[in-house]
Amino acid sequence: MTRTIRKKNDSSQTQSGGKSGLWSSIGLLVLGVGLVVAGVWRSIERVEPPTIQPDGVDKAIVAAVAEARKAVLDSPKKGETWGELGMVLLAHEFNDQAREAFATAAELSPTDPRWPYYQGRSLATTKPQDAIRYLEQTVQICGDKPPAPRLTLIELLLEQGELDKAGSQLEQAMAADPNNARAKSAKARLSFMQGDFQACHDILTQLNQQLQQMYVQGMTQAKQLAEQGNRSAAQSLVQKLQVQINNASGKMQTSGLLLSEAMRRIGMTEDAEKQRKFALSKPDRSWPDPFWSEVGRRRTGLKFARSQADILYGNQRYDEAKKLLQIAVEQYPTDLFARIFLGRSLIREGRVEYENGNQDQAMALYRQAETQLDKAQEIDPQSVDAIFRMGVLQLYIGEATGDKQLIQRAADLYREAIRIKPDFTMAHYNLGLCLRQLEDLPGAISALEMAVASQPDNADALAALAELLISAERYDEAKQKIETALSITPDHPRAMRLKASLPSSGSSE
Amino acid sequence: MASVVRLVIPMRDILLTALVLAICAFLAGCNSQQDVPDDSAQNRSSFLTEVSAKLGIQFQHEPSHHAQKDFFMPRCVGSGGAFFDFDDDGFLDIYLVQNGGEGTGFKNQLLRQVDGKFVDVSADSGLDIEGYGMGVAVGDVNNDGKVDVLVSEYGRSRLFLNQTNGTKPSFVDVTEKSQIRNPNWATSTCFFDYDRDGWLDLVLVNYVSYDPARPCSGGGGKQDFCGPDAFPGRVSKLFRNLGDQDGDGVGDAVFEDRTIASGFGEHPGPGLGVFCADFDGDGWQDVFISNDGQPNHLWMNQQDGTFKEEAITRGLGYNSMGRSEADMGIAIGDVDSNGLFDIFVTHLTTETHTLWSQGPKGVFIDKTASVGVSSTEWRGTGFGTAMADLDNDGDLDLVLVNGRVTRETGSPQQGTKLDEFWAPYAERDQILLNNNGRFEDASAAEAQFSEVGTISRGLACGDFDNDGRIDLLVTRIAGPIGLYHNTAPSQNWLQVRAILPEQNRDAYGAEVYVHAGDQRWMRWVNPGYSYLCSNDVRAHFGLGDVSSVDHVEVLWPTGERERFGGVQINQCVTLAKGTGLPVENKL
Repeated sequence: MTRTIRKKNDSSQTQSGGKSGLWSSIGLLVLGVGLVVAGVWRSIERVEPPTIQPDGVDKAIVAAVAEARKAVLDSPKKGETWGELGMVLLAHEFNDQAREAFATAAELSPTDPRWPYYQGRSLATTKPQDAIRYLEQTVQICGDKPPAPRLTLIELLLEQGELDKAGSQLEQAMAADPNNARAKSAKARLSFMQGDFQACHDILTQLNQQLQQMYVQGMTQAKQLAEQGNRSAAQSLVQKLQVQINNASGKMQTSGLLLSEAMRRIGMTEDAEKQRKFALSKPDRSWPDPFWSEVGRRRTGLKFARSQADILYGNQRYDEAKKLLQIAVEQYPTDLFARIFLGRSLIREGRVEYENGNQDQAMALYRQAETQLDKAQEIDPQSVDAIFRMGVLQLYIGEATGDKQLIQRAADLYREAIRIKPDFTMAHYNLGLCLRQLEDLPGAISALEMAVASQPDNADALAALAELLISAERYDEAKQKIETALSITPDHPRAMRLKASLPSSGSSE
Repeated sequence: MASVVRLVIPMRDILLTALVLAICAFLAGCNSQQDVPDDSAQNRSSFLTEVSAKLGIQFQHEPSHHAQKDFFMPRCVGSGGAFFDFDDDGFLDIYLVQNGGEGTGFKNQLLRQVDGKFVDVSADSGLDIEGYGMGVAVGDVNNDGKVDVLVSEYGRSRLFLNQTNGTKPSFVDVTEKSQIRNPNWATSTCFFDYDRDGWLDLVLVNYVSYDPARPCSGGGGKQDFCGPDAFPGRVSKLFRNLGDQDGDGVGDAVFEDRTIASGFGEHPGPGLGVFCADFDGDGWQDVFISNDGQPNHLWMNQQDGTFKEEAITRGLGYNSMGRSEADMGIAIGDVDSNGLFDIFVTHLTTETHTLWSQGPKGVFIDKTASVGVSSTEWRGTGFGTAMADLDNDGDLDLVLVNGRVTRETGSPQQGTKLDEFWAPYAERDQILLNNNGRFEDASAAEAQFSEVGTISRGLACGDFDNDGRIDLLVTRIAGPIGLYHNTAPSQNWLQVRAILPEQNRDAYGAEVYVHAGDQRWMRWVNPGYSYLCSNDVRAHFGLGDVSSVDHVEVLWPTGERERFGGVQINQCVTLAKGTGLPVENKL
């Protein structure tokens, strides 16, 4: 219908035939072309970098993404800004959005190997064939400088069972650096997959020797420098050597375990078992990867702070951990974990002061811890960790002040923790300690029995139970617990002491 | 994809282009259909029909009404179920586990099969319990001829003795008396006779020392369920059945905790799956435990009451790249027909499921890439799994049921009926059919089984209507179960129930071999595999067009081998130890 009417109109205009009509048409045409050109121009200028739905996302991460996004909007034709946005997104597991950013970065900076590399890495576990294509692109751009992209490609090819392709890439990697430890490890794995267990064994044995040689040579040189009085050069050499060895001994556990498998396959069964134990005692550090490290450096937010604090605490860097937790508590006042973790840190500090005889300082720290744990319980009254830590705190204060009521309170808190988490070994254990102090020996034994039931490989709990059984003159049972504790930890001091204190023969039965 | 350049293209051109592309695509599609006759697994007709409602089952798994508010980890790990014949009437019954917690009113359900339908007989059965239920093990622990039930839970595990007489179920909680004390978070569990004394012992797999207060987050710092790496793993427990101590001829159902004495205490791990069998052919049962994010454990029986952990040197610790992955459900079967069982373990969506091929005896190698299990239509976080001959064509197919453990950041699975909280965890289940040793994804053809995203956990196999075809039971978080009746085209089959008359029970640990001409099939008698589930204890053999078998051999768990002749196909036979012809044990 609409079309018919327009035709009619057109027809009437033609029939009137005036010059004004022609000019009008030209004018309209010019206007139309102008509008199209303006539209295209505006479209060229319009930039839409990927974004995230901020609901539920850590505010520090939202801010980091917003900042990187703003940089893109400010400099939309720079590959680096798009790449930066991609890295921020990838660091926080927004993989789809990250890939969008990397795709544009790669369009704008096609010679930068990082952008296809990150796309490949982010697809490796979900779409390995796509990941392989991106990694191949990366290698075409950067070759073996750095070696990580090609080696990542090789490992992915091996994982996908594309052994021929992996072998061909491996030849190139080895040609670029015949001593590259990661390449050698990959070659050993390729040999294993091809069923050549002897070759696998030989490569890995030779790699171990290479590492040992590197260490011995480096240390000899350092020693010589030190003997010549050049201590700073010696120290510097040792530090450099450490970095070299770390770089060359990535995935040492993984390679060591592969060696043990190869040994078993070629009949070295006993050596295989020894090698397995040896390998398991070694760290399994990642291989050096300068591109990937760039992504790691962009991590931020509460999750990151928690994990950093955990690492610091685990490495006994208590002050640094505490500072980080104090900042986390300030920035995320409703975060339960930060509160509990800070409370735990303060309890530990207070205990140290108490053991050093500084009772007032200890009590002050305990009070600070109590504040944090109170707030944690406000956040989540069912928090088993907050309840347990509060129990520890009451026990410590009770011990310090001789207040039996606090020990009773601690026992109640442990019972509550056990109600929520029945396999909470430490709560059972501490409940036993409290009940012992409250002179409830049968209750204490029962609590320790539950500690052992929840964690039968806990030698401390076994020894503590044995001690209580001795108090109850149940010597046979005590003896059995001591033997079990010593079978787990042969030099367990408490178990050894108890063993020596047991009557030579005697039975409670 | 975001782009710096954005051109305005007239709508008419877009439509024209789309039309041209559609025509091309249509033509291309026609060509490919004409040129390449497609007899792939995807193009066969469906043979799995969901029948739970039709057969009277009304079960809704409830991972607690608090699920909207917290990320209590046990909610996303359980629960399982069992196919078992509690009243010994020759037809499989079903037991389903709830995970709502104590005091919520969500109770486990016992369903008795009556005239082809399933009747809820839970009330007053003794098995109608509440808790954070995880898995089920089934086995006759007191050798009275009635299968007993062990339920693993978060925070405890309970043993129920079967005292059913007739059709009314009666189970009695004997946990306290049995001395099975396990306050840990137990997952899969299995009965087996590790000391060959004729009494079924128990392995109880423990997961992690979970702290419910620990917050975990996924992409962008959004809260989510924790993974196992947030907590230390626990040792799995071994309980030895003390048998008949009072000499009344029936077992006392009392166990002794041998966790430390046996060596199990040496290696804790976040265990999820378990399978017990003789791995090295020495006639003694070993234990394989799949660990979530840690190397698996293979406990080799030293024949003196102790075990030695040898997973790594025997090739089962890690995948081909030396990585420990999130190992969950376990399936067992001889995929390459070399007479040795292979092991398939399910993993996360971001990993590949692993198939370890056995050879030589007792040593395994990762063959995932070469058998096609990594080239599926879609990826999922697999839990329950089984190798079973679904189409009775003589080779083992693969079933795996999926459901995420962390939220999908993209759009939820289409068609999922889950609520807003659970929908991001939904994934579709899968079936891979064996085509000459290579698995082909046949999921697309099984609309009822695979079309809709759910959060599946347990998978149990069993022939509930005794028609010779393996049916499937799938347990799901926050959803109804799936009971899939198998209607695959008729092919020949045989089912073998191997029993120990002296023990009055099924011969857990036996190996059954069926011989026909130059073909041989083997199966293992133990219902404890997959994930949190107990399966039909009968050994099922699809025989394809083989019209008769020469004989059946059974290698009994006590080491003797017997041959049974004259076995007719297309039936379920019971073979009792001592009634066959003794043959030399060549192993």
